Amino acid sequence: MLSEFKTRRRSEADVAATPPAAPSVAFAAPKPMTDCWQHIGVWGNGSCGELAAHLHCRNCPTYAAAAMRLLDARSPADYRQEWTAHLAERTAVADAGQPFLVFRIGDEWLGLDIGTMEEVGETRPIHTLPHRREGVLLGVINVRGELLACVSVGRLLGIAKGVGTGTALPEKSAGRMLVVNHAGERVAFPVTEVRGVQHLALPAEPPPPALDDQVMGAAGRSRVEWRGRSVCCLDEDKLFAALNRSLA
Amino acid sequence: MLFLVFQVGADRFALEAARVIEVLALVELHKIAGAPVGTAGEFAYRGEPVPVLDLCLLTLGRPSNLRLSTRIILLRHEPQPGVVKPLGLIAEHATELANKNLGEFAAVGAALAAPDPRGRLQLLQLDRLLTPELRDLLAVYYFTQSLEPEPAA
Repeated sequence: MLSEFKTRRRSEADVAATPPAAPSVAFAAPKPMTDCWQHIGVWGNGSCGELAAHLHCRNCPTYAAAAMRLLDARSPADYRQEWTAHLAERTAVADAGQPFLVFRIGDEWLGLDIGTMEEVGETRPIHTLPHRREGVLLGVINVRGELLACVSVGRLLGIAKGVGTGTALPEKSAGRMLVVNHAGERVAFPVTEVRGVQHLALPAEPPPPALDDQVMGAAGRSRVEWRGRSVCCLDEDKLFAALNRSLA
Repeated sequence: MLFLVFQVGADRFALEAARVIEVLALVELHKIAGAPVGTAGEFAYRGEPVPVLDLCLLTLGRPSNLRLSTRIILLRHEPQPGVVKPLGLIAEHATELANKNLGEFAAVGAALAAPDPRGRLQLLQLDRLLTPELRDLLAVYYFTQSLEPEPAA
């Protein structure tokens, strides 16, 4: 339907039409369809007086109201049947458990309570700091104009190698930058892969971790089986305490 | 406070978004035999039957238009204090949201209306819409024990 608007030929009279005085729209009393954006808007000669206020037609209420009229169309065939069938289905009962963001650093699968998660973003350049080459602090990154400390959780937890441990940073891989916030303290760290939010049921009394399990020892809460993998759910208090110790 | 804005005929109405569970497409409804005027029917929502009222039928006496913008607003209805049940309302042009304060709605005649750039915006007062017959019908959905035996605890 949008293409109809775009391809419609316009008469000279249309082109000379004055801009709508006030961007008011009444749905109930159908006005003749305006396509002012085609002749006096940004796709026309740009002479519309409203452009000074809205800069672009897509910000203008007239344009938005015209878009809304697309929804006044009759529903396509099978639309109602499809929705009826879809809504009648019972949703799968969400498996009990706490929601965790599951991600991978190197070969290690980790889970972090989503309460602490602030953002999962693209990886971006890390600006290294002078005389800070070897530690957990990788540098600072720019997250929407804000400088955040970027740390290597992999190094902190003693994960041997892989993307996100600080040795090799993802280039074109599915690497992500996580921003976490714990009691107002915000840090970012790169991870190799994010598998979204998963509901993991933590055992009430976690078994004591194996002695050689370095990740659990550093900041783990308990290990949980998830899709055949052992996910180490991190304790955010322990994690941030360890971070603060190593950054100090 | 966020309000869902829709139309009944030419008039624009607002409903607190916090009361809305979901805005659904206008699904196919099963008619309820002998239901009072204003009832559009029922549909299965996640396996449970939910009664649906047609706001246009209740207010204007004509059914809502069959358009894409006509949708079912599924809201949390409180038939009794402490009892929250789903109720569907068919509304035309249920496509917008508005940010208003509850204090902006002032009594104008029998309605609670707020000024809006696009004309006045009325607050939907569901209690006024529900006739005793409709309440009786809803009570059948909400308070009738199911015939299936309760699963053993």
